[in-house]
Amino acid sequence: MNLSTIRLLWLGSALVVLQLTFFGNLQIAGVHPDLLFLVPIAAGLVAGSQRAIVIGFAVGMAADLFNETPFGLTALTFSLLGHAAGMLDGKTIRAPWWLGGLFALVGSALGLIVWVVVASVITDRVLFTPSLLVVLLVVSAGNALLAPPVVKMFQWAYAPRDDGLLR
Amino acid sequence: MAIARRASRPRFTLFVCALAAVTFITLDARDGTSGFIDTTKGVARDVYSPLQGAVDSALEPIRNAARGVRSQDQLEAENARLRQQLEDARGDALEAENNGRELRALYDLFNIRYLPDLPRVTARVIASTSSNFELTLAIDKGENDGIAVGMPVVTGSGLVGRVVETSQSRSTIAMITDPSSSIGVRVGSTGDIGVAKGTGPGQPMDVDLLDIILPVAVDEIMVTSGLQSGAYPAGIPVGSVRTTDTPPGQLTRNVTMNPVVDLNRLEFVQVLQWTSTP
Repeated sequence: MNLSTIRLLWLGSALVVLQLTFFGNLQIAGVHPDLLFLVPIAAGLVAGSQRAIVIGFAVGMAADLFNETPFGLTALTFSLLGHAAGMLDGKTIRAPWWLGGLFALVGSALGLIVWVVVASVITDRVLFTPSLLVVLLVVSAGNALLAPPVVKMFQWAYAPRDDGLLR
Repeated sequence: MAIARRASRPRFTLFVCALAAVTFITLDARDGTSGFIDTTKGVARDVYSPLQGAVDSALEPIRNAARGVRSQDQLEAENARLRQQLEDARGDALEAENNGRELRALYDLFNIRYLPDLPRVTARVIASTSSNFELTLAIDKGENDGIAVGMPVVTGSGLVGRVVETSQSRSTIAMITDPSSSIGVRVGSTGDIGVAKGTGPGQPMDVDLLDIILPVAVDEIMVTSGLQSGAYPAGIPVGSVRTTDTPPGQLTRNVTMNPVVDLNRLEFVQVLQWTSTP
């Protein structure tokens, strides 16, 4: 494990703490932002698929430790999300500053839907309720706004190389 | 060849991580509440608790400022409304005290535990769930303080939820508005029995199985029914009726209610040291 991976994991842990202490207590229309969906996306855009899968898995496991949802569900979702974000690696030579926000918007929404679908299959909970739309909106929009600074943080944590989408 | 190897490495990593995640999901489902995974969760929460408290204290001014900016007008209006309610409540309190004495005498006659007599543990809310699909709270008391899974949690206004997980120094409460929540309730005026279900954050609760014949008025208070094997003792206020209607052809009444407790602004709660008898 090299230094950049250690920094990335440390950054992921710090964002988990920030989500649990700050964003978890913030509410917009009864829903709170979920910064953690942004972590595998930012990691994928900056560091590629391989590292994003590992970071997504680790952050997802950390999130599952503090939720009542099935242990491993968030880790599975974040691994898939990190792989999907990392697949964009190398497809664009120069990325405009707003591209990270757009990917965060779409990726967070898709990640949430995947999470809800898998959770509905595994558990007997009814999760497809009208409030799901509000959750999708708040989480995706919040992550789109937070994406530029979070991606910058991941660029700092990851050693500068040419194999990332966002340089 | 090198390119093909590089391309297959993330897929292999994804396969391994996905397999590990599915394994943990399966283990968690099989182990229940006393397995290795729940023990690990409890240890992680106990270890994390001091750090969360420190970060929480540091970020609280920012959170309060944000909340204050958003809800300034709302707070002023609520302040005025609460002052009026306090005046009205002072007169009701005297009447309630007398009624309470009579009720207590009846409970003693039938050997039923009276709600105010139940031992309780006061705890501070230290975090809400980080998931938008599990409406839970974390409190700063746990097994060391006499809290066990299944105990009801209340405030001075009414029911908050019940304890679903404990560690040595922390507990997790599932709130009544959680979609998986189901509570036996009784209409205050008629005694009709129904089931209240949570529908998610900020949404009114649905109340089912109420008799179509017995009337239910808006703003009427519903309390826990405490029926045999119920998860809650009888008499805890749960919510006030928001809407009531009877669609043609239905045998039961459609009722929605708002929780009596403001679940978005909880700071202190009380855990009733009571468990249901089978």
